[in-house]
Amino acid sequence: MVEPLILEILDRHGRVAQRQKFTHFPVIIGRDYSNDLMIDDEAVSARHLSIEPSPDGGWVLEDLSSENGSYASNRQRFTLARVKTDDRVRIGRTQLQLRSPQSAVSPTVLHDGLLWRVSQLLGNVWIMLALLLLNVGLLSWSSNTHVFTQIKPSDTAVTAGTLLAGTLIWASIWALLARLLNHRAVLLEYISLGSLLALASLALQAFEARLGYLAHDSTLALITSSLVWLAVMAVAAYLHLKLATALSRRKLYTLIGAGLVAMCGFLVLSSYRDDHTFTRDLPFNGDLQLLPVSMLHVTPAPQFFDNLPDVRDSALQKAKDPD
Amino acid sequence: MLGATSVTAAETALADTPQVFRQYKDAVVQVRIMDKRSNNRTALGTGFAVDDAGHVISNFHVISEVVWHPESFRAEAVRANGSVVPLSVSGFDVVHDLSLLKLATPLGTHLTLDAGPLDKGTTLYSFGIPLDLDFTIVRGLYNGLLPKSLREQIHFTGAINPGMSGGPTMTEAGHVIGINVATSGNDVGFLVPARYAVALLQQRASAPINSASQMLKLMDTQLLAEQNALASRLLAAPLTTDTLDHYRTPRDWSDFFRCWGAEDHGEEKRYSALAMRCGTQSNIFLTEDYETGTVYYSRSYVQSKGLTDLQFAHLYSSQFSMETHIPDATREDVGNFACKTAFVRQPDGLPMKNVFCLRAHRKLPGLFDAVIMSATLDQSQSGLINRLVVGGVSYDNAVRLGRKFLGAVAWSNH
Repeated sequence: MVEPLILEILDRHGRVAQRQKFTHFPVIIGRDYSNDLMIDDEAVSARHLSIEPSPDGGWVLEDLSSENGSYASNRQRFTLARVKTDDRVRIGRTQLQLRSPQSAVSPTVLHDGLLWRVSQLLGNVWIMLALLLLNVGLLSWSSNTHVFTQIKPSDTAVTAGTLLAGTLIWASIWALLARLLNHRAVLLEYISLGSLLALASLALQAFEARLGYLAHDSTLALITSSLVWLAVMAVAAYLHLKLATALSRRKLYTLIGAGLVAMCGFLVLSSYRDDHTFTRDLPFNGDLQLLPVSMLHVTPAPQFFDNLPDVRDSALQKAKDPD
Repeated sequence: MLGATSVTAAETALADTPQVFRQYKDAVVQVRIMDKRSNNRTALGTGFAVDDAGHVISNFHVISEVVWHPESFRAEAVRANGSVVPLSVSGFDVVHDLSLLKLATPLGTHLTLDAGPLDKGTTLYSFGIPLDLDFTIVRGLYNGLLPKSLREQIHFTGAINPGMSGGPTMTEAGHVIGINVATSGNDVGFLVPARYAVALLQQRASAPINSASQMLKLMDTQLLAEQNALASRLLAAPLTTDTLDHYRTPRDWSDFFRCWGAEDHGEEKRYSALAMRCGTQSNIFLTEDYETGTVYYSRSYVQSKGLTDLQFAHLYSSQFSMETHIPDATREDVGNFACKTAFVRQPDGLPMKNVFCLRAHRKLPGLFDAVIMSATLDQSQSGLINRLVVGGVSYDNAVRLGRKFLGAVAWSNH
């Protein structure tokens, strides 16, 4: 009894498009209806290739005088070739892979339940619409910390328009990537994700303002909110990449870690650059949180003017730095 | 006969202009600054001989390139007859924008400097080479010294144009009473009074100054003296205050400040900001993009109209951090600012946040630009911001001026 042959027709990305088992030989492959395996590829001849088992365990392939030829995995054109199980051959524009019942398959991938549930939630059209509306509402809210004027309907329209257009463009780019790389339709998920990110940035702004106001320390507030923002960015990056690509979790963590390291490097470099750039800006903390003065460290005003030589020395030092 | 009797005084003066031009044009030269390597012109102005030894008076700003970079630039004079004579620098008065140059070969004729008093309306004749056109005479009128000016200047009603800088403006008798220095257009011209040129001529160095370090040292000495004089005037002058709700805040300091008010409010705004800005109109020219000798102060009273306390804190902070008027300078001229902030309490108990910032002038040791600010912190729905900016000042004077200026901020009911 001869070992059966399983032939896989691969698509452009190397994924299996069609799979068929053969027990009678020779197997004749071509484009017309007389063949054992019919291939819908105009570069393939009517009768193109025949496959027979070889006595020593492999397969013997014979090109049936095809116009475009047959190629082994080493890209050499052949008329007669000996090929092992699990090797690939190309005829026309089509890749074929030869398998046997003993061929190994990749290990079972664990079903990512969390990602699946997140994807279910974000992909819900009502949740997506609610997030979008919440965004527009918050941006037009007059108690927003950074709004000092009356908000007019036209302002709201502009804000909403910008937000909608921005979110849609963002989501479309990622959804396109996901479609190409992962064969998934996830536009709604990305719209929800974009809205969530915008909401998170608004919430963090408000959080930073309130923390700075209450703790009377804007630097602490800035550092805290920056750390939270980094965490949010990492989660967002994970979800974006995971939805769009088939990369393993480990590769994603590596990518995101590398991104965070690059960001820290950028911050260090840009602070170095700022130290060496001429500027007319005044490097002072202009925060005026109106706390009870009893909570502040207060010096008598005349004393303030007694203790300024270090400003002079620092200014002289900055003027001495080489350009 | 009839025609002869109808000749007016103005026509008589007009008839004298060609005479004045013929008589004095040979004492006037065009001053050209040349790039030594390419031999191209980089600046043009006018100058005039003041003695038989070959001394020529012009503006500092005409020859500033030679002062800053004597290794790259040189000066030369072009006479009315077209001949070219090399010029060297004998001195300058950077504060009053004057320079004293020396011709390699004297012109053989010179003008007389005269600081004598004149009546408003006296006819004057200004010489120069406007826009590199040709030797030109401009007739105009004397309109006295600028009344509210930090640095003395004569108001000349006549068309002074670029290229005429450094040229003499004289009476019909040929007495130079001022040196062309600036214009505001529309026949509003400004002259440096001749007495500063007289002083410069008397104090001139025996040898020409030709090294960059000598030039910078002289400039530094003059600017340090000038800022000392200015600071003394400001420290001696009474700083009046006025009342804004429950605050007393600086208002008038000296009559050479020009003040402007502005109110920032509108239907859609939920706050109002009442602002006043005062500045000295004059500055000291060092290069095209480097100025000093300015003093500027401002205040802004910000009031909430329905903002929450947190929103107001944000608004108030952003107004406090807003870009302020800082003297022009490039990275070659000054370093970056260094600042110190502190929460302070005024003698009457008013809590404020004070900021004191300095940047040092790289090539003029002892000089700093200072920015001194405060914001009151006793209210959650209103606040008062005060700013003082002094360009080209010593550290000690910056501290003294800051102390006096911010010391005037107080509660009004105490």
